[in-house]
Amino acid sequence: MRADRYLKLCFGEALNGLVGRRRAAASAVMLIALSLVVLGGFLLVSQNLNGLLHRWRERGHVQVFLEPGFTIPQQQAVADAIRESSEIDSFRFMSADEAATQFRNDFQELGDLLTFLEENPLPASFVITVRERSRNEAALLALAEIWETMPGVDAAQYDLEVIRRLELGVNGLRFVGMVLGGAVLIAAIITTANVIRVLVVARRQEIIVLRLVGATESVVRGRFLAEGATQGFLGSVLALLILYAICRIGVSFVTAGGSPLLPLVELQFFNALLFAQLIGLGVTAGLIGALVAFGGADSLE
Amino acid sequence: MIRCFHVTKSYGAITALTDISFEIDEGEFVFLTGQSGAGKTTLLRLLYRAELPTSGQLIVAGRNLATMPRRQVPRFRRRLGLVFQDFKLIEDRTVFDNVALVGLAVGFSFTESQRRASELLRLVGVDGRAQLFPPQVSGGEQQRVSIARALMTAPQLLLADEPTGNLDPKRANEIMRIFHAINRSGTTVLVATHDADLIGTVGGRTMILEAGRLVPPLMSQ
Repeated sequence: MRADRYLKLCFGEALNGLVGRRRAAASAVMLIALSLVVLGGFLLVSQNLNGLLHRWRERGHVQVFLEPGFTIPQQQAVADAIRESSEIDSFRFMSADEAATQFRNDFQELGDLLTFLEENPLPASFVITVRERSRNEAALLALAEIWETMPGVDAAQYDLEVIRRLELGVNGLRFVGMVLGGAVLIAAIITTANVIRVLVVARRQEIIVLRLVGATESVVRGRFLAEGATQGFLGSVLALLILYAICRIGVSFVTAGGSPLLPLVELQFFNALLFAQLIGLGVTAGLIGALVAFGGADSLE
Repeated sequence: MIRCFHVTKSYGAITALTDISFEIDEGEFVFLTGQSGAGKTTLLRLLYRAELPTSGQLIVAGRNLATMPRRQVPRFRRRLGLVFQDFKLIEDRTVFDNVALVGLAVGFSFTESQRRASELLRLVGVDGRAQLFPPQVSGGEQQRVSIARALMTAPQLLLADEPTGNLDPKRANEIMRIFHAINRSGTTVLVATHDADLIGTVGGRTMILEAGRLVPPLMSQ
C-alpha cells in the first residue's frame, strides 16, 4: 500500500475515533500533558538555573571581606596586593555603608531590617573581577588563599563555591523532576492503553473483518497506533503551551520582583532540540500505550 | 483451485477432520454439506488459512497453506471472498462504508474504493440502502452487502459458510442466484450448508462431510 494512502487511512480513522470518544481521549491527552508539564517544568527550571549559573560563573567575581576593625594602612595594603596581581581585571572598594545601601536596594522588603539593628553587620569589602583566563576554581582558590592571609582580611569568597553548591541543587532538582515526571508518564501510558483498549474491544468486529479480507497487520494496527500517537502529540502540544505560559508568567514575576540576580536572569523557553524531544516523548508514550492495548487483540480472527 | 491431500485437523484429543482429500477445479460451483458438527466450518477455516491442518497438504489458489508464512496470509486472502452466516458487518458503519473500507484497507485509492463499492452494491441490489446502517436493513440485504464486500478484491475463490442460515427460503434462493451469477463470471464458489433444499437449486457438485470424513462420491450420489 502506498504510504500516503496508508497514513490517510490510519490517521483518518484515528481522528474519527478521537472525535467519537472525546471524553475518554481527553482524559488520556490531559494526563500525558500533565506528566510532560511536570517533567518539562523541572527541565525548564533546571535549564534556566543552569543558564543563570553559567552567566554567574562568567562574571568571575571574588569578594574580599575586611575585619570590622580594619585600619586604613591595612585597607591600602590589601588594595595594593590586589592591584599588583596580574589576574585582576578590575576591582572596587565597597564600604560598610555602601553594602548596607546595596542590601536595601536588593531586598526592598527587608530594607528596614538594618535600621532596627544597633550597628551595620555588613562588612566593608573589595569586589574584584578576575580576568577571563582565571575564571576557574583553581585560580580563584589560589587568589583567595593569598588575600585571606593578609592582615585585616576576614575572608575571601568567590562565586564558584556557591555556584558549585547550586549546581548540585540543580542536578538534584532535575533528578527529582525525572523521577516525578517518569512516574506520571507511566500513569499516562497506562491511561492511554486503557483508552485504546476500550476502542479495541469496541472495534473487535472490525479487526476480525479487516483480517479476513486481507488487510495487513500494519493496516489493522495502524489506526490504533495513530490514535495513540495523536493523543501523545496533542498531550505534548498542550504541555508545551502550559509550560510557555508558565515561562511568561515567570519572566514577568522575576522582572517585577527586582531580584538581586536580575542582571543575570535571562529566562528562556525550550530550545528546538528539547522542544522536539518533549513532543517525541509524548508521541512515544501514546504509541507505547497503543501497543500495550493492542496486545490482547493479536489472536482475534 | 483447491487441492486437499489427506488433511486431518485435531484439537487435542478431538479430531474434527480425518484424512480429507478432494480437488476443486477453477470455475466450479461446489456445495459442501453435512449435519451440524460434521466439520464444514473447520474445513473452510483451513481453506482461508485461519487454522493450519494437523497433517496433510492443502493447496489453495496455487499456495501451499501448510508452509505459507503468516505474513503472506493477508495477500493470499485477497484472492478469496468470504461470506458468513452472521454477515460480520460493522454495525456502526454504513452499508456503503462496510464495503468501501475493504478497498481502503487493501490499498485502493479513496476514489477507486468508492467507485467499486457503488458498483458492487448496485450489482447485488442494495445500492438504495447504501447510507443505512446494517441493523437498519433486512437479513437478506445484510447478506447481499457481505457478498458485495467479499467481491471487493475480485476474488478467484468465494467461500461461503452457511450463507443462508439466517434467511427465509425466498431470500436464500436470491442469495444462491447471486452466487450462481458470480460463478458464471468465472469465480470458483464453495458453499458450505446443511440445508439440503438449497443443493441443486443452481446446479454444481456436492461434497458430503460426515463426522469429519468426506463421503466418497459414489456413495453421495
